[in-house]
Amino acid sequence: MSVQEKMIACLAENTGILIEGDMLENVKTRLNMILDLIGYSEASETAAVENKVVNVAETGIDDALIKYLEELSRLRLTPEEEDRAKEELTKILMYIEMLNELDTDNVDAMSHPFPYTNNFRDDERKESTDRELILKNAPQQKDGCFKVPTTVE
Amino acid sequence: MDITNKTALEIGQMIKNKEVSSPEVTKAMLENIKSRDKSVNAFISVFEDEAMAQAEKVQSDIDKGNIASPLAGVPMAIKDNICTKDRLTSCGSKMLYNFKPPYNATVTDKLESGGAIVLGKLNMDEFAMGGSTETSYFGAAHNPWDTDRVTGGSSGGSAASVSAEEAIYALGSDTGGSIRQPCSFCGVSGIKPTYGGVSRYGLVAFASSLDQIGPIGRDIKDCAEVLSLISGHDPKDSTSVKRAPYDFSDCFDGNIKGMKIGIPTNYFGKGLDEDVKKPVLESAETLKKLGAEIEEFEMSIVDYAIPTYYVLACAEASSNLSRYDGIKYGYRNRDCEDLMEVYLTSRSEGFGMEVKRRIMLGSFVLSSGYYDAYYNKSLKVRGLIKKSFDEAFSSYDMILSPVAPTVAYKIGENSSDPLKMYLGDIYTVSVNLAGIPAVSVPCGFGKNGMPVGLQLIGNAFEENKLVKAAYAFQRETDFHLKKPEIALKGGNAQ
Amino acid sequence: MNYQMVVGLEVHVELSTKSKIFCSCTTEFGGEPNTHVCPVCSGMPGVLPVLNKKVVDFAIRAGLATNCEITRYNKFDRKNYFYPDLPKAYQVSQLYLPICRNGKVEIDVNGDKKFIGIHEIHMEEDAGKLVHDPWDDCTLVDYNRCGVPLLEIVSEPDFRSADEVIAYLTKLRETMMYLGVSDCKMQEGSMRADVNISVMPVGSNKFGTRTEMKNMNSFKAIYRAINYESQRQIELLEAGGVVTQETRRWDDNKDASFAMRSKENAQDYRYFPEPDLLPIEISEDWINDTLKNMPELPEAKRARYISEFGLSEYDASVITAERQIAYIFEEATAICNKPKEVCNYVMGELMRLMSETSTLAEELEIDPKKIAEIIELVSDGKINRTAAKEVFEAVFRDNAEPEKYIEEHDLAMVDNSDEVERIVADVIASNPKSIEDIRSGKAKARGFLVGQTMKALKGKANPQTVNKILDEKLKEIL
Repeated sequence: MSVQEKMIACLAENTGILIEGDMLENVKTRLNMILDLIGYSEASETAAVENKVVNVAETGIDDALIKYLEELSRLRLTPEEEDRAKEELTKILMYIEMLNELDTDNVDAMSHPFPYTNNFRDDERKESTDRELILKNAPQQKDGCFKVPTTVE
Repeated sequence: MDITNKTALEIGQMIKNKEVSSPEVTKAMLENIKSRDKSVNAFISVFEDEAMAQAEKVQSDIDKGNIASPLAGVPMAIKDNICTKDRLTSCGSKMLYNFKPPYNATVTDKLESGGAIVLGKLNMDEFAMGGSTETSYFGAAHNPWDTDRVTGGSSGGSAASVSAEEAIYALGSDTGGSIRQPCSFCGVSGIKPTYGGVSRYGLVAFASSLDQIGPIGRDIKDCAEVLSLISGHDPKDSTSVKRAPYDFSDCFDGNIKGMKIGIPTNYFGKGLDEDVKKPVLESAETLKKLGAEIEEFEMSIVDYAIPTYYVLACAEASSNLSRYDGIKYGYRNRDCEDLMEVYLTSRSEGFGMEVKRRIMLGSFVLSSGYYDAYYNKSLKVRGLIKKSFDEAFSSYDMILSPVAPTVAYKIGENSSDPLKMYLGDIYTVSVNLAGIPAVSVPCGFGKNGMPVGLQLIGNAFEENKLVKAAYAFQRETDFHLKKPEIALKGGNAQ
Repeated sequence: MNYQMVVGLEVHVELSTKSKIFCSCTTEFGGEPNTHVCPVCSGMPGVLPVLNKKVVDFAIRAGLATNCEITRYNKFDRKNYFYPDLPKAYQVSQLYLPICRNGKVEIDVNGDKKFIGIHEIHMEEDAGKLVHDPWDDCTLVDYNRCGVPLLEIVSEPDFRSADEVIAYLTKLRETMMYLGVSDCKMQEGSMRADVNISVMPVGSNKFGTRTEMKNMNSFKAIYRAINYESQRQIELLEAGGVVTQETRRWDDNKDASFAMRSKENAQDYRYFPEPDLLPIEISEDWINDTLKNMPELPEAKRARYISEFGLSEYDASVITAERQIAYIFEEATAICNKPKEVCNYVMGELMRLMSETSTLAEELEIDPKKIAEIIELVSDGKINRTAAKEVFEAVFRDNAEPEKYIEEHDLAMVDNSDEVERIVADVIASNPKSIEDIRSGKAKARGFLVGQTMKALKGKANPQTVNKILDEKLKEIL
């Protein structure tokens, strides 16, 4: 139910007047004027989350978002790759939008394929692996440690 | 006598009967690899000396009666995302171009204890992301039936190696169809087991809640034997289910009378090539003739499987692939002044474009503000898909469908359009989302002579029904016996 | 305007399990770099975690002790971020369904009692250690601590003073140690706190913008940091400024906090359910079993020491402050049945020696049986209190055997009246002046003779015996 519909229902209930026909159109127009006046839009009522989604689905992935995803993913694309990624990801996201056709309000999120629980091991200590084996694939090592450029601030 | 075109069980038996030795078969297979793999590119690494040494050792164990497995001494190969101790495990990526794990995957251990001879590691789409084996850092694999065409993927090397008779059987992995689809494209048989049926320990993760290791072979009987060897609970994998290994011994009587098979009509609508549709529907007729009851039904939720799959698989992948940071193993750009540069250059240069695309998509659907709308929504749809399969299996023993909408396409034909590529997974991904098993077996050929596969989908841990039906089908048909030309002309007779 | 500080704490305690949370490597502190490491905790490709059941046991225990609800169906989530100390680039933690929620802990600041809310307790894995190598200008990464199990105990923002924070931390530490859940060694980082601080006008209920100081591992530093940071914020606001939400670093040497580089603000952890681990289902039985096997907590012990052993409230609280001390007290008391004596030795000798030798309670190895033995020896008149102190010290320092030590060092009381008689005779003979004094009625002189006798006997004689014999001898002469 839209806000407009809710308001009309509320009006009808409180006044006991059946709102229909011309009267309905009249009320709708006035309500819309009020809603416009206060800067209300249907979308602003829905969660901020959905807002963003609507934006992405409509406007596609913009430069800021692609840069943000690169940063999150620790990837650096060339400008050409960025353009391509924007276009492709937008296309894929638009396609994913079809999930919104499904009503999932009363469905549990299925994070695991089966309802199994409680797989534990006992608190037993075993020999660790030889350090040499742990480090043998490291691009750089020093003093028994993995070596990286300095991280101190 | 050409031994390289026999099934694994036949060769295993011949070795036991001393008609041939494991080193002899191994040598013959290595010859095949040498002569054929230049045009197929199924292998990323071949362990020539190690395989021969292993064959000698296994042969002596067999002679002493120390190994009972019917697969003992049979040469095979492993997809390159399954860890093999001290041997390259690259995942088809530059990122792991030099990675030699200090441990075996549980399946590798099980194969070795069953006397398998590991010929080498098989080509694949980079990190198993793709349906064509074109995204491999080691070059595309080529379909043995037509080397201008793709093998399918991501276990393209696995399917192609069996098809070209470069391996008697192979292990692949299936996250969204990666065993079944290349089997269909290359005319071989394969099983995607129930999630939790086979240990994932040592399988380099793509999407942890979807990945499963499974066998690819010449026929379903070989696949079943391999599956029972590698399955069973593994204390190292929390998601491996506490069950005994599969036992398929009562699946090979060919009797499927009264078996109820459902055909989801919406799987056969728009988008399915006539080339595929025809043989798949004919196979339904064959099964009917053998006594199965065939019924059509509607399963429309499956139309939502692809978007659900890509959201979930990419989300998990974005996290799983974060560990490749140039610090502990694998590729690192050495000219980095600061840590951020190590991350950015190593990852940007180490990963191919398809992997980057999926990581970014995954990061997006999990990021603050989008989680509920994309990731959590998809988990819910996953629940709906699972429910829908549960309902189907309350009426049917299994579901029959195509594996892929087309036969193998030309190399390069689809690689420019990722969405089109993703749509190729339409018949397979829902199986992974629901965690249930499916088999892919050859069921005919398209007009251009390329093989077509048939998919049978079963309820959780009901692989035995699928094997039984597939066996009955293969006993009745000879599609799985057909060979690509490369296997006919290049055979190394003994 | 008057301001009020508002503080919330996230306390991390490392659990004292034998093995790590998801693999069988040892949790032992120290060791050569990367020697407590396997493919699982170093995040190699293809490896998988398997949950240590003890970690769940400990979490339930901690939750019950802090009056939490136990989440019957809880799950792990992945917290994704890149840093070299995190080999998988995600930390396995609990966001959506933490194992414990809605608890509370009572604190007491100078008699003012107050409850601090516990928002949640969740299980997670620790990260590795980074060491800066100044010679090479690089950072070295050691994964020994990776995968050591942690509980993160998140309080509500209920603290209004640094004293309340310290009272809470003390209580929490005491509780976790008693539960056997953690050794809470601050200097080894096995207990550390992230401190969130904001200020608001007194009477307001709208919290100000907060800043955070991470990984603080000394009560003293926390106390000073809270007072410093709240004062800094107040001064900032009074000068018309605004507080920026940021992570700050406390520098104990400079006694001030400093803003860290602010790129931290862009953290987007992309939490999602960990697919490699199954959810955890906690049954009624599991909870009941845990309750049944819960060790007695300090508060209950304190009450019991007062009612059962007649200790003062002060003594009871000192004795129970550390689990190991309470253990020693109870064991020794059980043997000698002299709680007050044991209490005196523990609070006197034992604690003095601990502070002299900088020994921590958990490092104590003293055998309570030997303490009981010393007390018995004193009450049986075998040794005097001075000798007892010496024996106690020898037991503490060298694990000496009391009886043997007394014999070797000739500390036993002299009961032999022949010897006392001989000595008394000597003393009388060599102090004629004193005898004269006694004769002339100076009673003090007698005391001098007793002193000389005791001195000659090195204090080991029973004073009654000495007095009796001296009186007899004097009678003979006078």
